[in-house]
Amino acid sequence: MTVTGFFTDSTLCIGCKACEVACKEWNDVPHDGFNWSGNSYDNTGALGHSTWRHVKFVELSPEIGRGGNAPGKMAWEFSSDVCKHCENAGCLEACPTGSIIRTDIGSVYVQPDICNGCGYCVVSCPFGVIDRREGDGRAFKCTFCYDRQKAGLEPACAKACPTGSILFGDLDALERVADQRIAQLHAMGMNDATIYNPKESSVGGTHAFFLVRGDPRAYNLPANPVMPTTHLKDAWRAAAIGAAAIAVGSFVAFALGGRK
Amino acid sequence: MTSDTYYDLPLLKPPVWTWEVPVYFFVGGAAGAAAVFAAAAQLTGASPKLVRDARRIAAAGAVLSGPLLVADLGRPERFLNMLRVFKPQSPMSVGAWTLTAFGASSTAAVMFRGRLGDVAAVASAATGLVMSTYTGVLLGATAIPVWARHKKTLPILFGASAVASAAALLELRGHQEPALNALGFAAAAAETALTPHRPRVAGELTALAAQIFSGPLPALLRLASLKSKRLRRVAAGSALLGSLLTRLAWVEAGKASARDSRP
Repeated sequence: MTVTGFFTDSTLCIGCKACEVACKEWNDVPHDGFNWSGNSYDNTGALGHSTWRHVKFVELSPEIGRGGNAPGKMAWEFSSDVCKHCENAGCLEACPTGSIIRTDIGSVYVQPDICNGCGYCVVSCPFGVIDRREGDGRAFKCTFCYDRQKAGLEPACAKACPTGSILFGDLDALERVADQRIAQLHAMGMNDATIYNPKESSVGGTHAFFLVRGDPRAYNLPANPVMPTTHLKDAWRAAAIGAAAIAVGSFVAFALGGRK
Repeated sequence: MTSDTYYDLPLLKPPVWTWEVPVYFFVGGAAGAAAVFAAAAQLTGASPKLVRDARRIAAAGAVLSGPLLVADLGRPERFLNMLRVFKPQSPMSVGAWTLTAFGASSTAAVMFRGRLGDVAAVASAATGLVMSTYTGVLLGATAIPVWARHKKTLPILFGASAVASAAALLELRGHQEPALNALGFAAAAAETALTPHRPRVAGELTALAAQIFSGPLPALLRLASLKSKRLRRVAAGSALLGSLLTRLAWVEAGKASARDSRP
């Protein structure tokens, strides 16, 4: 099968949350509390064990060219976030049980019948996506609707999106669509529109990528996500130094002062 | 102008680990260093009583470690899935296999006498070296900023902490070999030297207590104990407490770091 992807275009999102609802319904994801954030219209806050699509309500200060707002009123940007399905996935490499796998469609999938809830993937995701569900004990995140895709259907969120903000398809083709869309927006004068797909970082690009405006950090997307395995060499070298010091130190200490 | 955060919400998810994990870092580390002591003491001709006690501490720690880690799992009944695959790129996988080998060899080292026990003790010491240091790799090679920033010091700090606690346990069992005092002093000195690399979490009492009890206090007490022997037990108690607090403080620092929207 070909490698598939998501291209989420924030400039087309109207914040209706149909993607969140469709995802919850199809995947039978439980609610994750009914809380008021108190800081915005976004009462969900972030992706999590029971939120696999999350519409962010980004408030931008008014600027000529942002369009649609009276002077002095902030500008809305909506953006539907999702697991990035990284090319080099921190959660996948960290998983000690082999529960998290790379599928034939290039996505990162947690096998719920294998996961034992050790929690190491949680601290290994540079995007803060995967989390352990209390009560259940296992780690959960977007499945990229693997079941639907294997049946020839598109993921539930993309199917439900009424504006074409969430596009699903062949990853290479989607990247060309994104390039065309950026050129179109720039031609319209929307010069701050950029593609967020950290190909230059150690994550090596993502299979779910986004079109955002301005600083991606305003969308809680990290400027430079770091793949945790890049730390392994330094950390294991330090462990080797420590272990050598303990071994040598112990032998020297007991050789010189092992008797009372 | 766009903001550099999303409503100051954190990007990362905090570690889900509860108290069992830092306590395991402490217990497993002490056991690992004790296994190294047992082998070193035996090969250099120290008293058989010291060797036996060091082996027992290693085995007891190994036996305690398993339940602590199983208890922290979201699905404890699936703990054997840890041994379903071996992934060198996952410190958690390396740790699970190391603990398995360490548990088997250190238990065998106390169960069997003679040659078989000695071979097991060597295997226990070899895996014990990994036990006492890999937990620093486990934290360092993650996406949690404060842990990743200290990837080059955490394995050494945890190793020193393991040595300090193993020496302290043997001293509290009544062993008075100068080697233990020297090892305890070296560990406390190393921990003091690594103090600037500890997390500075404002108002974090555990981190402060960990610094005092593991570093300068036992180092000074051990120097003073050269004149007054009784102080060695006080130093041992301080080092033991400091070693446990160090692990608790580092896990807590990781949680605080993940909750920071501008780490």
